[in-house]
Amino acid sequence: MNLDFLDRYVGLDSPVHRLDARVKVLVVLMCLSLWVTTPPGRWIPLGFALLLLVGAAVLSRVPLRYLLARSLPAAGFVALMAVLAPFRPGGEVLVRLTPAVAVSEEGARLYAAVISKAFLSVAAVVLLSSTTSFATILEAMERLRLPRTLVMIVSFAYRYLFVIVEETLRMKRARDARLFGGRWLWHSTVIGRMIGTLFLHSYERAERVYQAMIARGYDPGIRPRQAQPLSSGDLAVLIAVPVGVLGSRLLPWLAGCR
Amino acid sequence: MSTDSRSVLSLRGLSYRYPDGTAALEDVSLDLREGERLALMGPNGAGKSTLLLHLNALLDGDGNLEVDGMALSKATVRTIRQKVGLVFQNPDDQLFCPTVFEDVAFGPRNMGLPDTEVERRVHGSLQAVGLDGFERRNPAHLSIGEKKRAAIATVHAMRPLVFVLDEPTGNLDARGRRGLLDLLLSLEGAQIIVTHDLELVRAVCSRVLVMGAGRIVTEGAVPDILADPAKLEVWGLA
Repeated sequence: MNLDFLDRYVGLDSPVHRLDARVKVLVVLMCLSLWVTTPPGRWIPLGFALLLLVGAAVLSRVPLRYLLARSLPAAGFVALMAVLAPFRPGGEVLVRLTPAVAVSEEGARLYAAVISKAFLSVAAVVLLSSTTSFATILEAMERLRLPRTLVMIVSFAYRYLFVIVEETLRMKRARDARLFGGRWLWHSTVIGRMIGTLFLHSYERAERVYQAMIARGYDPGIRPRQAQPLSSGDLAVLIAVPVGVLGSRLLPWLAGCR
Repeated sequence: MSTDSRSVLSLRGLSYRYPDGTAALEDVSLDLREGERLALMGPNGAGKSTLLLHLNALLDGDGNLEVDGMALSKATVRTIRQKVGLVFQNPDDQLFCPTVFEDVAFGPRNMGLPDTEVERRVHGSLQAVGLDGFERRNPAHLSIGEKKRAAIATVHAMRPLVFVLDEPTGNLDARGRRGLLDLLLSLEGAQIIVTHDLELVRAVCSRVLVMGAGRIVTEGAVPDILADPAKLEVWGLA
């Protein structure tokens, strides 16, 4: 099985691809926190975010259609999760479904804000992962001094995802080859056992992997890599983008100051 | 193999019990001389893999291990792990990083080598196992033969005195196996090879040690041990 589609556009060469991964990770994190905390009904910051993303995507030469295709499903999922939001009381009633259930102006605004924030956030992360290989993101996390154990857990999850998916497929085939069928109670018993087996196998593998690490001199205390300094271009992006996003948030306040 | 060459690894009277009390190894001793390639054979469950884990101090049974004239102790364990390079049976256990480069660099980095030297070793070791240009590849997506080679490279980069390999030709097709035999012949350093592959033993090794039920059953030169089909069957090798 091949999950290479995750890395399809990582090999392109563009200013966004060349940007230091630490800067990309930090900028995405700062943008996400600013967007997520934007109060509902404030559309200028979100519009600016969209412009910023489209601009970065065009610059990176990652096709916009690809970004949409990867981000929209997540927005759809959030739309489903937040489906009760429009019915929140508050403001003018827009549509009355029954005497007790109505779509309120405030609810609709909240719903639209939640969906667009989800879409923007996912699109930003998709753009990050399309312009930076996973290994480089991990390296950046380590260089940003995130706890090494945390970075390793993420790294192992990525590495063994493939192994576990393959093992699950093999087990499923072996099960189906023996005419798996019958009632749901039997189904759930068998599936429960499969999950248990997968867990045990992963647990045993973890022990073997740890032995392989120890055998090559692993010591949890060591931080072997030296960080390279950021270029002036990297620094400029690191400062300019978050300042721009923050500016779009503060626009009404800035205008009010005059 | 001249008999006066230097001993690089010596194990004396190793016994080990599993935590549940079952005896896994009993009074196992072995000697390895510089540059020697020793085959470790025996049926499944004979204790071969358990023995290998002891050579890297990953298990601690009773007995004495000496590597390159250095007795195993708390102070020497890291050096011994660098000198004895353990290649695990399943490369998916050994290749745990997101790229081949990171995996091969893991050992040298833990040795505290500077980045330029780490990079030099990674390229050199990948070249030595015939995987030039694989640096950025994800180990999960390599073929089984490539994974086996990459696993050897991860140890090669630490410049061990002894390679310890657990079934290096297991699961390989005929061509992959021939390629791996050539690779084993080209590696510098002594080797202890656990295998069921008689062709490998004939092509690569000079001496065989046969294990059964946690003990050493017999040992000798390859032609002597492999000469008698009836005995091979008794030992569970054929």
